[in-house]
Amino acid sequence: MKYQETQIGNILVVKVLESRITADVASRFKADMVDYVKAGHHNLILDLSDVSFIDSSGLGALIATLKVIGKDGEIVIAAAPPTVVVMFELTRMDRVFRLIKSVDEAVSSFS
Amino acid sequence: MSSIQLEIDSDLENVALVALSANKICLHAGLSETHASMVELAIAEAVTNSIQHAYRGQAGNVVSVAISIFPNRLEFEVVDQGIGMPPHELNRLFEGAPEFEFDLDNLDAIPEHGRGLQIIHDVMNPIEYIQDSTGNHLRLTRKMDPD
Repeated sequence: MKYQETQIGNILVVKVLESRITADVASRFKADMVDYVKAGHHNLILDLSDVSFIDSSGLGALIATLKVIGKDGEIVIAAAPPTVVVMFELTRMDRVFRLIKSVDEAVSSFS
Repeated sequence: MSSIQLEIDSDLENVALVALSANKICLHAGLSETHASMVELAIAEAVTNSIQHAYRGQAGNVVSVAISIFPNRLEFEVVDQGIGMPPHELNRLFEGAPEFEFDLDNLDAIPEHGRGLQIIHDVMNPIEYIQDSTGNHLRLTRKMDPD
């Protein structure tokens, strides 16, 4: 899995540079996300602008990350294309994660 | 009616090939992008389930997906020759799973796994599951967009 990381104040923006987050890469993705949290990044913005598809394994990895963060921070989903937003809505994950239209708006939402 | 049959080896890396094909065929048949993506997700979950559970993650087996276009619906048949779905999974497939109506104040109780069958249940109707001497047949129907 490839990512681009940008630190903005106490927020880490992680852009996923893959088109699909699916069962074949979900374990790696979960480990990578948990590593960010364990490195002290508790305010995460996951930029999904390059992602066109996420399956239940990918969503499960995000839930696992959220559990590791707990009440110490938040993971916000930014810039997800409409087809990916549908996948969050279908699985009711839009009730668990804040989905924000752009990275800039997501950054502002933390302050 | 037009139809196609796709076959992949039971390797998770191959799931995208059938899922993307299903999406494009849905668009060709007249589904909206949103509904085509929902079907793509359901097919990906069904094929992933065959690989991970029926074949216990072992490559070297065949998963086939037949797609048929009718005037008012699309039909999909996912077939494997692995271990059949146990009763509690079939129940989740046909009835849905109440555990996904989670309590947001109790993060730890939100399930990390098992959402795939719920997705198929929510996207496809009707659903049939047939086990016979030729394998496990999961038949899924998606009606054309109501709008």
